[in-house]
Amino acid sequence: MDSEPYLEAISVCKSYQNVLALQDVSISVRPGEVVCLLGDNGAGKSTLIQVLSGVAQPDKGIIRIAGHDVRLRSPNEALDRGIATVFQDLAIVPIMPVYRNFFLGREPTVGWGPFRRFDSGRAIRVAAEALHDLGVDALAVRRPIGTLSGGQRQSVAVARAVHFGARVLILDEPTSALGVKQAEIVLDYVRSAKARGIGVVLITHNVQHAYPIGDTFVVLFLGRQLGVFKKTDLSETKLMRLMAGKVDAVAEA
Amino acid sequence: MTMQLDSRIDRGRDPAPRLGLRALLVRPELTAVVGTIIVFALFATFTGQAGFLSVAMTRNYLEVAAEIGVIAAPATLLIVTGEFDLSVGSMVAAGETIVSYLTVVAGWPFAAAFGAALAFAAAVGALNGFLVVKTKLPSFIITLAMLFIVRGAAQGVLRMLTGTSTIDGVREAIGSGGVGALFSTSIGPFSISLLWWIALTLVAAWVLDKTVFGNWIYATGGNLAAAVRTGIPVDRVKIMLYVAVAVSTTFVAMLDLFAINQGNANAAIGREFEVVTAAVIGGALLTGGYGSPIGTLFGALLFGMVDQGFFFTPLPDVWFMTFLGLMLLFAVFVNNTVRVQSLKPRGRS
Repeated sequence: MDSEPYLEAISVCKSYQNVLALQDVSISVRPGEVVCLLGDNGAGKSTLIQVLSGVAQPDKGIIRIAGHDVRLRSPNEALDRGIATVFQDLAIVPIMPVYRNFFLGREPTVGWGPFRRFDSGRAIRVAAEALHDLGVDALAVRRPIGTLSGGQRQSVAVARAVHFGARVLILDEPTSALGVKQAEIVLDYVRSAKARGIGVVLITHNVQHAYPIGDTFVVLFLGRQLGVFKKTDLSETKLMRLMAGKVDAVAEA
Repeated sequence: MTMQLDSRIDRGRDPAPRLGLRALLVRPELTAVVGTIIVFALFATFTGQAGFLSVAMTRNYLEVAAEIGVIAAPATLLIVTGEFDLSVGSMVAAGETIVSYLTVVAGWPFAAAFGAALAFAAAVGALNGFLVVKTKLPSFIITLAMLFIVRGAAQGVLRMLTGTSTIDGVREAIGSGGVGALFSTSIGPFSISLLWWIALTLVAAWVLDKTVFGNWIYATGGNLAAAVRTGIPVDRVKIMLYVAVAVSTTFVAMLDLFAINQGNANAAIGREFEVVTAAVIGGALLTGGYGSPIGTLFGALLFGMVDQGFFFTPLPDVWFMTFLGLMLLFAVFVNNTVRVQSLKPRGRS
């Protein structure tokens, strides 16, 4: 926790037409740290992750990765630098088997020249290994990913990002569409990513999901940052009040 | 948020992680294979005496099936990406027109004429694909327009050049050796079209299931947005398949040219629907994401058998279309049910 931040955004501003979506927002993620980005609808959460993931560029402010100032022009560029974002739609193909989804766009090959082919044996093995903790076994990885539960699908998308070298994971509302049990599967997976030294930015408006797992809490309200709080400085109740924009809670905290 | 009554935190472990019988039942080609066996058994039992089982008859229905199947193999891959090509029938006619004119009238050697036809087909295929990916209009409309344009041009140009819409004497003009042998020889009692059909089917099946390109084909049709997000060049995938389908029509044009010994600007009318029928009976989803060249082979075989075998039944052969329609409807119904079943979430979590 005392290590240098891997990903930092410093005093970022972003506006769309006349709307100031982000105003002077800063956030930083260290390896193995779970930063929860909280806020009600319209608080600027989506804009901030678009800036962090390379989908959009900030008007003002600095993005810094591993100590270097960078300009991220696309999600792929962010991915090359170890910033992987799992958006709500997950980028999966329901009808395709799990292992084919796992390697979508990054398929391992075997053979030479015109006989070069998709190394499905290796893909199945590697995917099964990476997904073992989720209860997706060697046989299940060969079934359409659409047959998995919502939590498992979300976890497969996260596992894929981890497998392809993510140092920081940005998870966009990973639990919002899930039931209690399903959300627990995903949060468990986030815990195991954290244990492996991966930094996580967890976007949510669900305090019950965020509080137990987060180390640091960044609360946005109408495009402004209400503050950055360590868990030790903050109770769950205060976090709730902050999210509703009750700034006086900051003073109490 | 849905609350679930089961309080035990289930890690999503599937209770019965078996592929076995269920996997077999959801194979896309199952309907077509079973259908082929049933139809063959029916015709063999009731019209076998009348000649359905004869070698000549077998040759006939294999020829019909092959001329559908050669195009249907790459067309199945295109359907898996979620697109159609309705211009294939008119493209066969264009191929026949080009090669018969160039060889019989203009005196070109076959190889050169064939090369010209291939180049023309590849260009039209690329244009089809380009228009579909750039305009984002339904490929149904784009390729329907191309159907009319190419059919009209084949008829118009040939009439302008020769005053007719057919050119006879192709075999005499080309002779029997050389490149033409690829399309004119026989394999035992059967036409070489059988070999083209099986070979192209195997290639298509290999590409779809064994190569990286195949993974991209599935993804393009299964979820276009996800394919784009994961960096798959979806436009290139589609354009390449349009070119492959167009090139396959030239092969069929050559096979037909030698079989009938005539180039015809009115050839292969309705072939586009026969191709789609074969693919759909073979398990392809018209919405994309799913399909099987092997299934399509059986779909084409089924089509060929019914097309030729119907003649031997006591029913007047005008009822052929009705029978075909019912068969198609049934196949789509079965395939769709199986597909929905195969995508149902399993397990308790």
